[in-house]
Amino acid sequence: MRSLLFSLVVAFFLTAGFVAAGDPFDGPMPPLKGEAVKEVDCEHCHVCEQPTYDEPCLKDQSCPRDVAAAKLSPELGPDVIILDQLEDLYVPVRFNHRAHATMTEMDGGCPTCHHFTPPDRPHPECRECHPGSVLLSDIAQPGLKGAYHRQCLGCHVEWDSSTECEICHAKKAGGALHGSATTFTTEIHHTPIEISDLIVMKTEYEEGDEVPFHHSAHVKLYGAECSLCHMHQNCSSCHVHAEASHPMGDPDKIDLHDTCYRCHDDNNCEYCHGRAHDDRFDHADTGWLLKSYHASVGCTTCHARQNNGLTKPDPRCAACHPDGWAEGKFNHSDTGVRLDETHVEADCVDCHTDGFGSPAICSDCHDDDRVYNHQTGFESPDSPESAD
Amino acid sequence: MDRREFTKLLGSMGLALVPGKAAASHPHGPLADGVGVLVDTTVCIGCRKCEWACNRSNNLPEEELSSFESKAAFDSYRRPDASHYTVVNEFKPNGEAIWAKTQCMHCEDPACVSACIVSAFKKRSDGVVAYDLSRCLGCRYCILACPFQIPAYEYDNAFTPQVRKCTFCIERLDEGKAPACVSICPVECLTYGKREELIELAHRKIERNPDRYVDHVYGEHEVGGTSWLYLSSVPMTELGFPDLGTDAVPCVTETIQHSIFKNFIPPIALFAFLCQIMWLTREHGNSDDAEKSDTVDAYGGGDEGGTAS
Repeated sequence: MRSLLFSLVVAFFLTAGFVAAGDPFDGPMPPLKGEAVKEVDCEHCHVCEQPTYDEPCLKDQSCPRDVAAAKLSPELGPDVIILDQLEDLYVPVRFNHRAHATMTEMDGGCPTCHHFTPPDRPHPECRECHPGSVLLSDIAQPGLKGAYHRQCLGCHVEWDSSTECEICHAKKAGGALHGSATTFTTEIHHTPIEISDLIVMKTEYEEGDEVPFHHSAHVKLYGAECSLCHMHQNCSSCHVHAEASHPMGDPDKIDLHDTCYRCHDDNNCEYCHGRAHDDRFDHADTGWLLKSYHASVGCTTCHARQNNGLTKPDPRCAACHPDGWAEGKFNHSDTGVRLDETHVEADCVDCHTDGFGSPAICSDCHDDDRVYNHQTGFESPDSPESAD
Repeated sequence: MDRREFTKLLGSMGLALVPGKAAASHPHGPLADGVGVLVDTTVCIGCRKCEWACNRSNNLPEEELSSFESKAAFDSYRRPDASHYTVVNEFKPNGEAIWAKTQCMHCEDPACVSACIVSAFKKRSDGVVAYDLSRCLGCRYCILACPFQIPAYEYDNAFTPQVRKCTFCIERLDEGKAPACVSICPVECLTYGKREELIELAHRKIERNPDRYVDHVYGEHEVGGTSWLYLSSVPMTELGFPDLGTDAVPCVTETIQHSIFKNFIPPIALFAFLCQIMWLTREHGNSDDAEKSDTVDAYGGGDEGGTAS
């Protein structure tokens, strides 16, 4: 009897506790209708109770945003998407996904638009979460139309300073629509991005006021990603306010020291200031003269990145060419010497008599002093016109 | 009782007629099933498609869509009128442009409904403040009463003038559609739904983005609540909206008017009060008369004395 009474008292207090915990005015807000359909718990990514856009308080390395950004590259996404689910007053929008994805790499990557990606899945399409109907069952999130437009106009209003729909749409001709119909914009291509070879920056540094920057060498040879320097840039960095815009963003706020220090944090001032314009890195200074194929590849083909520098590669040929030079594994043209029909039949040792590392000596077979020209093939030094 | 005392007494009596907290006891107020629209001015892009859709849906004088794309309309501050139920204005309180749509707020306790002497305006059970042309006299009390100065009159229509204001697209609502402006808004800065859910949503948005919004849902409590609700990054008073307090306009006017005649007690009380004054005055006067008559009687000219007093 006593134990029954005890359990009743315990049950009463437990129930009272639950009732108190269920009070909607105590604790976090209950979810709005339809909002709890997300496939992950908030705690999966956020450490605080009320994450905001500016203060998301994300856990490290576990957020779908980060996972998605690390996992997907623009090339994996679709090229062009036709947005035709809401076709009504306007003809479908031809959205160049590839171009946008590539440009977004510089500022936030895929999550800039794909703001919610469940774990272990590629990015869902907008319409998977945002319903297409205008009369929303769930008012807590925008419909498909709002989702599309907010994403696009977030940048394009700033960029174009215009809300004219024809930026993306073409109006349908005739029907109940008023206003002049325009032709469908089939393709909008971005102007090719020009990378200058040498940019000379003027500074006020007394010891040397000019800083030469070999832009194309940094990109093509040293393999620097655009976003390494052009961080936090978007379309409007170049396109807004025409003359005042700059590919590095607001010119008044650019501090190129910050940019260069990302790699050159060990170098002193004179490394850049006052440096001769033609003083570029010469691989021959390291004791290894790069010829033919090796001169045309980027640094990271042979060197691995380590911190802000490069590792020293194994100098042995086989370290990079483990498959050797057997037929089918090796393209002789990569060395800079293209073999013609006659020579391709020959064995390696027929020409490279002292082994693979040694150059072939033409005069071992040919007694007419012919040499190899990279553009025209084998030719005689005396009469290049009559070259074979 | 001298004149000052009398005025004091009358004043305190008048105050007693007006209950202290009229709003709380007012029978009107938010409807359980009322619908509304939440306007998020931080999302609006100022495209003015809502104006075009409104004109088209309500058979207002129609202009071409392209004419709405002109930014010249933002050069001056515009108000809704008889041929424009809604207008979008541009404000730059902090340098950056903010656009705000103006239209009838469809108050929960509408002043126009209260002021209308023929019930041409009605608050429907779904929250819409609807106008019935067949009842309208054309007195325009509604225009004077509206705290948002929304109803407009067709002064240029000599024979069948109407009061014009946002209809909430009643026909569309009855068909199960959203209002025309809500349907066309490309960025969905207008959200149509149950008013209670919209208020909850609005507060949730503020809670999630405290830097984006001022912590106030305009229309939740203004003039007793409105069906149209606004979220903004700056106080709505900087976007051309009046600062009106939380009491519904009819709470003041109706309370005064209804109180005066409530159960006929105040008129009777006033009448009784006046009677008492008369009686008091009369008694005072009688004693005077008595004194005078005594005096006069000595001279034997009672009628002359009465005339002099």
